[in-house]
Amino acid sequence: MNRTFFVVFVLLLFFLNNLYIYAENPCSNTAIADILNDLEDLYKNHVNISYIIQYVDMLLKACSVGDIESASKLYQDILTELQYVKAISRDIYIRVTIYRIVVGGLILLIPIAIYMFLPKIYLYIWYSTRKKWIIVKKR
Amino acid sequence: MDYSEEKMILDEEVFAVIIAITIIASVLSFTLMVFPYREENFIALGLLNENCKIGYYPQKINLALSKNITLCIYIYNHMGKPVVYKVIYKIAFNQSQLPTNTTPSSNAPLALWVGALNDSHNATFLVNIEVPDSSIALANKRLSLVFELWILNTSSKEWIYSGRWNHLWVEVVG
Repeated sequence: MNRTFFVVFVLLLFFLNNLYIYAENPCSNTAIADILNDLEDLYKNHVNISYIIQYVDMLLKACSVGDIESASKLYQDILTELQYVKAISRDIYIRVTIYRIVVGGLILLIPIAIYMFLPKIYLYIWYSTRKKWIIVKKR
Repeated sequence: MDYSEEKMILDEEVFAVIIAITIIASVLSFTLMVFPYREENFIALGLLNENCKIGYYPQKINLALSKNITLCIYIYNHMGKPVVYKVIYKIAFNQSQLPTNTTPSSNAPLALWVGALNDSHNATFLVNIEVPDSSIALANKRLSLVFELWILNTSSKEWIYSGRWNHLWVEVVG
């Protein structure tokens, strides 16, 4: 029993230690790749991620000069921002989809509108430009 | 309004042509909106001079005066997704040490620059590079400044060589 408890304890320590390393290393490939993965998903859902990309750029530059303190702060900011954007990404996706359907529908309605209104508009212009004309009977 | 009156003023054939053009334009616009045309995905790396322009690259480096050269790197992302990139600077002394489209140069990296780019965005930045070992450089008289572009693969979570590189041959004088 004691032995089992000891093994579980060691495994737990190992797991927590790994978690600690991961949390403390914002410059690792895994941490950056996870952020990039989320950004790719958000980009596919038409979410504006330009400002988060700028943060990631700053994070990478901080990592490249060994400024771990700034990198950690930026990493936390990015995670917070990602959490917020992920929460609203579904709404943005629905909004963009509705916008596309409406615009698409309007585009498809253009030929019908032209078919219905072009002769009327043309006639209106035709008559308005000639309304001051005086008809004189030809001899 | 009487139809015969309308027919008389607006020619039927002209009207039919206008309607046909409108239908084609409308369907084309709708299709492009629903299935946007996407060219082949690529990422580009460019090497520019110290004014960030093409041409007038340094041809000689006088190691007695300075080991440093200032150049400009240009990167354009057209991968259809954001990317994290890394530009690695290396030196090659002959053709066989240069990278290829599939393999990077086997020489050791001397410097690197990292960054992130959104889709359809570009980055241009100045780099101040150093020619390190003057004795080998002087013995060879000619060396190539190599810049390789690597991108972070989100699946494997490792840096992979993009197959894009630039190199600049310079004459070394003592």
